[in-house]
Amino acid sequence: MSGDDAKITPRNLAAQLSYRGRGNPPVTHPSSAISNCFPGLEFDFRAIWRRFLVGIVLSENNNYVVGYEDEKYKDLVGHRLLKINDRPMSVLTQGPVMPGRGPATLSTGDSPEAVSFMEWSNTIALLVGRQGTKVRCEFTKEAAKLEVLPGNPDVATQTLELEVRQLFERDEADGASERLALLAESLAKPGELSQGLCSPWQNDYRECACYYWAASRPDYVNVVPGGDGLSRGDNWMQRENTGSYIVDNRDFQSSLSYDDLFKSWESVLRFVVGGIQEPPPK
Amino acid sequence: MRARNERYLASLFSAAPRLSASPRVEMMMLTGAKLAPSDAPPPEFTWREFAVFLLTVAAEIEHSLMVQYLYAGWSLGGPQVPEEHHEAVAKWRQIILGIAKEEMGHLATVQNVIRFLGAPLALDREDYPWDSVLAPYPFALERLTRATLAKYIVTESPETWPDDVSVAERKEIEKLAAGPDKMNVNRVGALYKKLIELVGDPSKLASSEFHPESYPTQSSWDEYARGYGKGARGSSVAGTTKTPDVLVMRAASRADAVAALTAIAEQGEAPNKAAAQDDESSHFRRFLAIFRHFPKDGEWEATLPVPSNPVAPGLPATEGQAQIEDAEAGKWANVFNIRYRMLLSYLAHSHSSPGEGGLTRRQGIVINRMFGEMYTLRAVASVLSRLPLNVAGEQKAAAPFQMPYSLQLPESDAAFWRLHIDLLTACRALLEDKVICKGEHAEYAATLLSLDAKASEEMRLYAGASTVRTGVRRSKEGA
Amino acid sequence: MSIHEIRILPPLAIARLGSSKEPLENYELVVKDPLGHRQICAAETLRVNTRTGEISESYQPEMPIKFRDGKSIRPVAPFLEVFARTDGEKLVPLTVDLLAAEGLNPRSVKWTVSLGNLKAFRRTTIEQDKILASTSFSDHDVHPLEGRCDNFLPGKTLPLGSARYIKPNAAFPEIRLRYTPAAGLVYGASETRITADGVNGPVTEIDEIVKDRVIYDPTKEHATWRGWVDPGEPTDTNPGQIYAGYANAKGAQVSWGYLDDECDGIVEAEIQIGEKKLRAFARIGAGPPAFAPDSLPIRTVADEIEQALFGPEVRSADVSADRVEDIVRRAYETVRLLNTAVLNGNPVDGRLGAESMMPLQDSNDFHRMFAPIMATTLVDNLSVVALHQTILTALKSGTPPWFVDVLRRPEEVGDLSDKGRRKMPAMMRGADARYMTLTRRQIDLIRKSVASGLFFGGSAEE
Repeated sequence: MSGDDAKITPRNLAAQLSYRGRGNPPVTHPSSAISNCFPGLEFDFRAIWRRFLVGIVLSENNNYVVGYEDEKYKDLVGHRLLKINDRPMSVLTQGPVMPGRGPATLSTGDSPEAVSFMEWSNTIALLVGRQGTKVRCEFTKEAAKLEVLPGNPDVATQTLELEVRQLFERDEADGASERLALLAESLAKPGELSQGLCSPWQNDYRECACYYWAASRPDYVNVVPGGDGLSRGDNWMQRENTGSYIVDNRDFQSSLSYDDLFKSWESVLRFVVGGIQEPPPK
Repeated sequence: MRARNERYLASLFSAAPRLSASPRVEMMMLTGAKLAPSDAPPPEFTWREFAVFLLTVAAEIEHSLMVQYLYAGWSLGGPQVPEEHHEAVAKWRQIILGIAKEEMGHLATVQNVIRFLGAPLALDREDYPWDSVLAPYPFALERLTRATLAKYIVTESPETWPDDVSVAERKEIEKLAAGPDKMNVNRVGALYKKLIELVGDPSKLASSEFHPESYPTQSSWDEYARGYGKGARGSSVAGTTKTPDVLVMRAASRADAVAALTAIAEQGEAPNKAAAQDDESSHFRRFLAIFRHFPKDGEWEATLPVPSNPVAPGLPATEGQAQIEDAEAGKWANVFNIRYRMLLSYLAHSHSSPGEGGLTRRQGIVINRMFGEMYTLRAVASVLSRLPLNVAGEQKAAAPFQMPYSLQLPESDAAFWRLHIDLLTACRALLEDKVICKGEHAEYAATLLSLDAKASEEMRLYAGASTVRTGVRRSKEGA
Repeated sequence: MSIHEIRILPPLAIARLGSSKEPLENYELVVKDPLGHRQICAAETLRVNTRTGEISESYQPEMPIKFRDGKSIRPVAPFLEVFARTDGEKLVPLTVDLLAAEGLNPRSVKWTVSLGNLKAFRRTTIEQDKILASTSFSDHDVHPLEGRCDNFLPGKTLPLGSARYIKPNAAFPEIRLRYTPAAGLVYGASETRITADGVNGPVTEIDEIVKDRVIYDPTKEHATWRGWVDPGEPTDTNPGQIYAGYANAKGAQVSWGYLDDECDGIVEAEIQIGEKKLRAFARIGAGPPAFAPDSLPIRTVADEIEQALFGPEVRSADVSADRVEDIVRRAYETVRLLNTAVLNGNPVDGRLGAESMMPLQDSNDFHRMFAPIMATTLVDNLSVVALHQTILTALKSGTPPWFVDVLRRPEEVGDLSDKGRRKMPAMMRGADARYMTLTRRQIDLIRKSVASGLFFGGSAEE
């Protein structure tokens, strides 16, 4: 944290990562930025992983190949990456369709194979030790617009060896090759970490309800206990504090509207400290 | 089991079961009713009352088993465990505590059936050590050893042992379980067999004896099981392990009640051959798996040096008990007993009928407080295990699990809240004692005090008034 | 002492939009009451003289910290510092003296800031929709970052904030740059907008939001952002159709061509020492403010970077009860601000599925039976908060965490059974649109801390 630079040495990457910079408030640090990005607030941080395999560009949100950086992989565009070193990139989705029944495979028209893709971050975590080396990547043989369940015997596949990119910059000075606490420049170009966010960002505050990032975009504020054992409080997005939570079903008489946010987000969105919303600014 | 109950048992069965050398004797006692004319209940009983009586015994046994397993599970660990065994010991602990959780589910299910029969909850049990003709073996709080494991295995064993247990191994287990006194270890399954027969028989219990309207106040799996269950085996992928879920079943019909009792009986024992081969399904198999790897005497110590049947300061310890003499540990032992009582009070409260105050709406508060107390008990037990038992300092203190003077339950919702507040107040006095607040675990004590203060404030609202505070601003914390 | 290498720290800095002239002052978040809110306490703040570009003083701001001036929010404007690796394997702030030792002066440092807002391009994939801003300088003036785009009207740009090379002085001789983000304005492509597809054709109105800030020219040959409809291809953003506009007769979202002034990019510093050119860079981004500044999210960009850098497993030496407590605290801080009953899928005033929440997403995405996640009686905010407080309290006793088994594993995201949905963290959405998981590294930390709690004295703890 700030003022803690005594511990900063060239090799202490953890110290460099946690360093905030003199005079910088905590909200400048990545520990204040959410990463369960769907799509995200500060960044759509999923975009940082799109080029983790050298030569191809993947979708930030699933295993679809959207582009290439090496001619030889041109034909992979539109295909899906099913497995890396035999480990699947997505799993079967199951759950009940009737009360009291056991889980069934949840197929839909958009996803006949009931596929849930597992976010990149936790997949790439397993490849951290493989940076700079080749891994076996199983792709669909054909282009595949719909998601495919890895291991489906009816789907023809092809296996290629691709290199896992070095995720962090290296200091090559003086013949040394040392890792820095700095995500590689080649992973994302300017603008790419925010390109998948809402346009404008205010849409997110309107549409993505609170089950994403309550610590950044609160939901339930001014909460007090009621005698019936249930809490009382306000929806952060409701126009007036009434002590009675208004469900955000986009009724713009009682909740803030898109236009309120586009026009005057700074005055209608209020900070919450100690669980209590600040009074409307004058 | 209250001593006064024993006379009913004595009148039921002619033999003094525990003294018998035959492992089948308890079967005879429980099926003893069969020897009598089957159309008449035992003397002084109706069939309904007899069913309630047996359920009360079952509740007491499940309760006692749960506590014993908790004690045994918590005893695992400590700095003396060689590093190469860390993983195994952590896993054993998880398995035993997982079984304790399942016993809690059994206890809740038995209470549900009791409520279904329109009888009051049965939360009472004797302090340790204690014995009864219907108990599988004399109950005791003991650290986990091969001998205690052997007792657990025999208690939960199926009628026919699986093939992979050799004659020699079974002999060893039975010998260890019987102990130096060569006592007989009863099987829990027999009790349930009798209950299932009784509850399932319309000629003994008419459908009009049942109270399906108690269904909403019965405990449910949804409230108890949460994400636990299969995961208790440390599995990382859903569906790859066969360990049963924590079982909490409710009864709204005769068939439900029979199914619930059957399921409890089966979760303990390995009911069939397939289950008997599977290390992850029954309690029997899980205990057996640990037994096979558990260090023999002198190899290495898997557990902390905790005594059997520790008791908090107070009356001199009776035979088989160990007094906690260290001042700080003694206070924490008192804290433990209060929190244990709080847990039982929340449990009782969660089963009480919805009153005018609309208990159902507060059900969440009560049940989450109950789960909260389970976490607190675990935490206080952990504190105790780091404090000495007495001046000698070789042994560590441990959780006393002593029963409160009374389990008379309050009659109204407000009275329940007043009881909870009283217990919090009593606990505060202990936590503010300088032995604790200047002791090694002062930070934890301070945090617990702060947690309790918040809880008291809310509870006063529930206990005191029907008035609901509706203000949108409350005073800022720390201001 | 010679300079072998330069680096910029912090390696990733976040700016936050706001139109006030005064940037947000510095503070620390301090846990005083373990069950309460983090306290916001004053911390060293640097004041920049707007005329000279020097730091005029370092001071402690008055409490409570001001997040706004009237109706304007204070922008978060981070400093980026240049560090030098010198002889003796030290990483020290690059200063005027260090530069002088190499025969250089502050003017020898060349800064380049390159930012992008590619939100329109991400959808249309038309190169001409890329909005990029770049500027290089060695002086101490304020350098506006003007986003340029082929599809803009002549002379129009998108202001993406400004950068300033802070002028070193005797008291503050270090080399640093400050990035100040934009005000948080919305820009457009037309003075009118369609609000609905009516029976008699589109309904049009004057666009009061952007009529004074029209910068995009929809009449250009390759300009499709106004009127854009996500095609429903796998290349769409996910979630899709997340741009301002109206729903056409088919229910598809049609873009009004709105643009915001968020961005991200790279800040570079370069110095030439003899033959050797040293270069360093850091990433920056500009996003919205954090509106509950005393609460931290449960899974953050810092967690992702840490996992990518150090891997999914924590070394035993790095396992500590404090770090586990921190994760639980962040979960608690999130839960505290959630209407957990509503998010659980409980009926509200008799209405089912009135608000967006995970159970609704399960039905929407996979046609799972709609049902609340947890028992409906258990999930009011008060009881859930109390439970989290008890967990935090119990951890203070030194007891090892007992909840490893209820943590959702990354491979379990397809498990929408009752039990699967009740794993932790509950009720929240992850980056793969399904129920959120922690990072593998967070899970491993909690798992390993069991051992350190269980075999106390036998591990790195204490």
